[in-house]
Amino acid sequence: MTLEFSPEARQRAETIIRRYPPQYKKAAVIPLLHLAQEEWGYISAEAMAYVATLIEAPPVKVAEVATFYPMFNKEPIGKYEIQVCHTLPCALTGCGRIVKHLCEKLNIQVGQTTPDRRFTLKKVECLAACDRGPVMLVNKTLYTNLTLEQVDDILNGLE
Amino acid sequence: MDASRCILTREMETIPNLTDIDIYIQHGGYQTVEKALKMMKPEEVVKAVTDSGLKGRGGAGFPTGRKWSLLANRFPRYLCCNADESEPASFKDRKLLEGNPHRVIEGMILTSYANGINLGYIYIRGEFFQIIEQMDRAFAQAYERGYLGKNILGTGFDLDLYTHPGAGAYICGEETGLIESLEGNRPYPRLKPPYFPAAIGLWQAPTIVNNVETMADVALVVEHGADWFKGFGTEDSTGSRLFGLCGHVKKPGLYELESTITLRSLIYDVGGGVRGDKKLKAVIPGGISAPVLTPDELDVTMEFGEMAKAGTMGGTGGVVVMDETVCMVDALLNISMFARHESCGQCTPCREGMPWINDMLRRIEQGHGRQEDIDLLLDVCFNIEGRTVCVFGQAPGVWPTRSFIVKYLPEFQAHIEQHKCVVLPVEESYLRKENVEMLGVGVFRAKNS
Amino acid sequence: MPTIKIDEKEVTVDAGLTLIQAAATAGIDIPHFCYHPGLPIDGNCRMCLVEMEIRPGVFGLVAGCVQTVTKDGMQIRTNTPTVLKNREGVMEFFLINHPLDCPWCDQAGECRLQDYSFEHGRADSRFVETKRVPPKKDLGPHILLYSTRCILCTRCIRFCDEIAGTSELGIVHMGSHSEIDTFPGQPLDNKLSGNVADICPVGALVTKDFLYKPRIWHYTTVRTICTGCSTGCNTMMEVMHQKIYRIRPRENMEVNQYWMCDDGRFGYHALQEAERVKVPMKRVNGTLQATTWKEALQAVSDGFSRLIGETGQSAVGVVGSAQWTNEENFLLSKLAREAFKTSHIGLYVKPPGEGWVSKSGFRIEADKTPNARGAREMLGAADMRGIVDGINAGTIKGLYIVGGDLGLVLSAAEKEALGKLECLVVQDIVHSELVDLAHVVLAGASWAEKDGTMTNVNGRVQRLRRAFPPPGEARTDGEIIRQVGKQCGVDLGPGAPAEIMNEIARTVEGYAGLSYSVIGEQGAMTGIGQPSEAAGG
Repeated sequence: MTLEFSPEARQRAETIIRRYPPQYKKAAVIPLLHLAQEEWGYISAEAMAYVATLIEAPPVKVAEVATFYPMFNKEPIGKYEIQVCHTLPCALTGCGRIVKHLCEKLNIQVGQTTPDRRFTLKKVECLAACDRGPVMLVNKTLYTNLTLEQVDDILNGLE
Repeated sequence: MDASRCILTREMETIPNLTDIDIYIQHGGYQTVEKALKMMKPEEVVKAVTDSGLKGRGGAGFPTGRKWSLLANRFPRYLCCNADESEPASFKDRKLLEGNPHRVIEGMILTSYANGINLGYIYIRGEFFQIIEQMDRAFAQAYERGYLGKNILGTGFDLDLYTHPGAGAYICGEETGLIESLEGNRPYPRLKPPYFPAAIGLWQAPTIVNNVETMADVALVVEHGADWFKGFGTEDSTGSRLFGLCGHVKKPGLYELESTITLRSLIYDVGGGVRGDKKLKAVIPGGISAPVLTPDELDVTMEFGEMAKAGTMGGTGGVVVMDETVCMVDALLNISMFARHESCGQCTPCREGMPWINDMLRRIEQGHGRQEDIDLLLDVCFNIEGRTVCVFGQAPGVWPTRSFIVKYLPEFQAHIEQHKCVVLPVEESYLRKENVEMLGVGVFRAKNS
Repeated sequence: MPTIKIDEKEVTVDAGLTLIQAAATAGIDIPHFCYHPGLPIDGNCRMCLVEMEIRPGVFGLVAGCVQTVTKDGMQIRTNTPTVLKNREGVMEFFLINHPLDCPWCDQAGECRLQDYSFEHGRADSRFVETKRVPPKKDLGPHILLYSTRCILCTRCIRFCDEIAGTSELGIVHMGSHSEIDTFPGQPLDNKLSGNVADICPVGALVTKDFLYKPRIWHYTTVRTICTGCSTGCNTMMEVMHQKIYRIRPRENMEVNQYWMCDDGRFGYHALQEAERVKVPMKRVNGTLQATTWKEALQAVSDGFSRLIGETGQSAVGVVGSAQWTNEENFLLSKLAREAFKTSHIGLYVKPPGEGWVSKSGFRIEADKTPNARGAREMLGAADMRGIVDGINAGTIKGLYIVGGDLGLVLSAAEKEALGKLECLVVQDIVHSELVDLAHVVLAGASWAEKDGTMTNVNGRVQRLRRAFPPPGEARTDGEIIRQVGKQCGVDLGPGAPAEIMNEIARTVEGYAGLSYSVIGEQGAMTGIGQPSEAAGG
C-alpha cells in the first residue's frame, strides 16, 4: 500500500519543507512525521516510506528518527490519547493515584487502548508544568492540578 | 520581590493579550530591534551582551557574550533557540513562551543581527502544541510588520526565523543533540571536540544555541544597556533569574528573583513552606539533575557559584521540595527511570549503565537489595561519569544517584536490611555533612579525574 | 611533524593523526570497538579513552579515536589506573546484557569482546538483573544479525552509508532498546554486504555462508588475491582439508582498502561445486577417455609433431588465459616459441560482465578475469582473433589452448573454427566447451591450487598463493607446460614461480625491477624499474 498526503496536508508539507535550505530537506523529517501522525493517527512503515520520498532520504533513515521519539506512535491509538506525566514533581503531587484511577475507570493498563478504541493511556516523562502537577495531556490539551474528580469530569466531557 | 525588579515577567503578568503583536508594540515592543538595527553596529550589540555578564539560562551557565565571541569566522551562520525544555522541575521557558513570545523573537532578531545570522530556528519541544501554534502566529505577525524577512525595516538586514518541533526526547535539549535532531538525524550528541556548535554546528556551519530565557534577557540588555542589567543580581549572576518551585511546597510556581536569595528563603518565604507544614526531607535545587541537598544545606544562596560550592548546581533553577513522607529510594528510582527512558543510547556507559542503575534501585525498593548493591551502584556511577559523549551520563544519571545514595545512606541501608520500603524519620534518614565527607565519596568528582 | 610522548615513548607523527593511529606507530595498541580506519569516526564505544595532559600536570580522559595530534609535546598515557578502570567498566557494560554464547558464536576466536575481556575485563559478574533479549534478524541474502551480541558500534551502518552508499541499515528505537535494523522490504542487499560481517567487532553480524562452520582456529589462512575480476582484491582465505571455508578482504590501500565484493567473497563455491577435470584424457574413437599423464603428453607431441615446422611456418597455435598467472603465461609463450616454434599466440578474452563503483570509489571491474593485463603482457597478444583467422585460413591446424575459467563461453565463430582443427590440446580445470572439442585434455589447477603473480587492471603485480594441491591427478599448469616442453625436447628453464618472475623481470617490458621480495604482501606496480635493473631473487 502506498500512502499519500491529502492535498491540504501536502500543501502544509511543502510549507514545512521550504523552511529549510533546499539541500537540507532532511531537516523537515520531524515536522513531517507530526503531520503524518495527524493525517493517519500513527506512523506506519508506509508513512515513513512516504515521508522519505518527500525529503529524499533512504527510508531507514526516517525509521531511525520515527522510532526514536516517544511522540510518534508506531501503531494505531485510540481517539483520545491520554498522557499522564509520571516524573518526580508529578509523582510527588500524586500522579500515581491519577494513573491508577484512569486504569480502573478505563479498565485498561498503561500502554493499552480501550476495546472501543476511544482511549489510549500512557505515562510520559516531564511535561514542563511541574508547578501544577499532577498534569496530563489529552490529545493536544494540557490539564493541570488534577484531582480524581477532575479526571472524571474531563473524561465525561469527551465525546 | 519588588515587582519593578521582575524584568522578565512583569509585563506578561500585567498586560493582557501581550502575545498579540499590536499590544506588544503598543507597550514599546520591537523598538529595541528598530534601535539596534538602525543605530547600533553588530559589534556594539555583542559588546553590550558581553558587558552585561549575562550567563546562559539553559542550565550550564556559560557566559553568553563569550559563547558568541567563539563563533568561527565563516558564513553562513545559524541560530538555534533552545526551547526543548525537558529538565524535570523546569518550566520557565514554557511560561516565557506562553506569556511573551515576541520578547523571545526580539532576542532572536538581536542575536542574529549581532552575529551575522540570516536563518534561525526555535526548537520547541513537541508536547508544547499550543506554544508552537502561538509561536508560528507570532512569527507570521513579525513577518507582516517587517521585523522578519528581507531587508528588515529598510536596513538591508535579512532574517528568516521558524519554529521546529521536537518529538518528546530529553536529549534534544543538549545543544549538539538539538542540532542533530534539527538536521533530521537521531539526536545523538556530537563529540566535543571537535563539534562545538560555534565552530561546527548546524549543517556544519558556525551556530549559536541559546536558551529561551537567554534570548529574552538579550532583548532586555540591548533595550536598557549592560549597566542597567548588571544592576540586578550579583557580580557572579547578573540579571534576574526565574526559579520554579514544585513538589511539596505550599505555593508552587515560577518566581522571578535575584539569585542572592537563599534556598531556605525561597522555600519558606516565597513558597510558603512545606505543604501541610510537614518536615522538609530533601531539596533538589536546579532541575532534577542537580545533586540533592539535605535539610542542613538550605542556607545557601541560589547563585551559580554558591551552588557549586555547596556541591550542587544552579542548573535551570527548578526547585523540587520533598517532605518527610517521601521514600528517597523511591524518589531516586523515579529519577533513574527518567534517565533510563531518556538515555539516547549512543554511547556505551550511559546506554548500559542507566538501565542497570534503574534495575538495581527497583530491586532495593522492592526489598530485594543486597549489601553489595550500594558499592556497586556507586562504582557504576564512577564508570559512567566523565566517560560519555555528552553530559547526560552525569545529569540526570550519576549526580542524582550518587548524591541520593551517599547523603541518604541510612534510608537505603534500611531498605536493604529490612527487605522492604522504609521511610525513616527525617533526622535519621540522612548523613550529616561531616559523615558524608568521612565516606570519601565526593558527590561531584572533579572533571576527568 | 609534532613529537609527542605516549607512555614515555617519544614518537614523531603527522599532525592530524588520531591518538589510536599515533600510538600504533609506537607499537602501542589502544583497544577500540567502534573506530575503524576505513570509516568515519563515531566515538560511541568509549573503549579507547586514554589520558592526555589538558593543562600542565593535569591529565584528563579523551577518546583516542577522536583526539588528534595537534602540537609538539602532547603527553598521552594509555595504561594508567584511570584508563584501565575505564576499559574494565566499558567491558562490563558491554557484557552485562551479552548472552555470553561464545561456544556457539561464529566470532569466537576472533572477537574483540573475548580478547579485550581477557585483557581488560573482570573475571566475575556483578550483574544479577535480567538480560535484554532483542531478536535475531535476517537482514538480507547474506547477512544475519544476532542482536543480543550487538554492541551498537554502528560500523555496519557507517559502512553502508559511506562505503557502499546504499544506506540499508539504521538504528531503530531509543536508548537501551536500540537495535540495528533494515527498513521493511529493503533488505541489506548490496554488492559489498559481506563486509559488514568482517567489520563487526563482535559476533552480531555473521554471513550465512560461514554460519556454524568449524571453529576458526582450525583453519589455515592463505594470504592471496581474489580472481573474480581485474581489481585483484587482496584476500585471506581460510582453508581446511583441501576445502575453502571463508574468504575475507586483506587491507591494501592501493587496491581494495579493507573491502571486497560479495561476488568475490562467495565465488569460491562455484569452484568447489564445479565438476573438475581430475585426470588427463584423450579422444579415442570420438569419445574422451581417461588416460595417464605419460600417454597424454605423448598424444600432444604426436598430434603436433607433423605440424611443427621451421619458425614462421609452424601450423601450431597457442592460446593463453587471463585466469592464469603471469608465470604460467610466460612459460606458455616460451613453449610456443621454443618448442612449437610458432608465433601464433592468442589470448582467450572473456565477454565483459557488469562493472560497478561504490560511493567511496571501490571498483568492481567489468573484466571478470583476474589477469588479462598480465596475460597480454606475457603473451604479447590481446585476443584470439588472429588464431581464429589462422585456423580459417588453414595456416593453423593444431592448437594448444588453456582454459582455467569456470564460466568460459565460446562464440559461434570460435567454436566453428576450433572444430576444424586436426589437433586440439586443451589444458583446463572443468568440463568446459573447450573440453568438449578437445583431442587431448590436460588436467590443470585452479586459482586456489597454485602460486604465482597476477597483474591487475591498474598494472599492480600481486601474489596468488596456493592453498592446497590440485584434485586427483591434476597438476599445476606451469608444471604441465614444462612437461610438454620436455616431451618436445625443450627445457623451458626453472619451474619455481619466483625464479620465473626473475626471468620475466629480465625480459618482459614493464616488469623490470620486480621480484617476489619486491612484490611482497602488498604487490608492486609494473613500470617502476629500468630494464637494466634486472632483479635478483
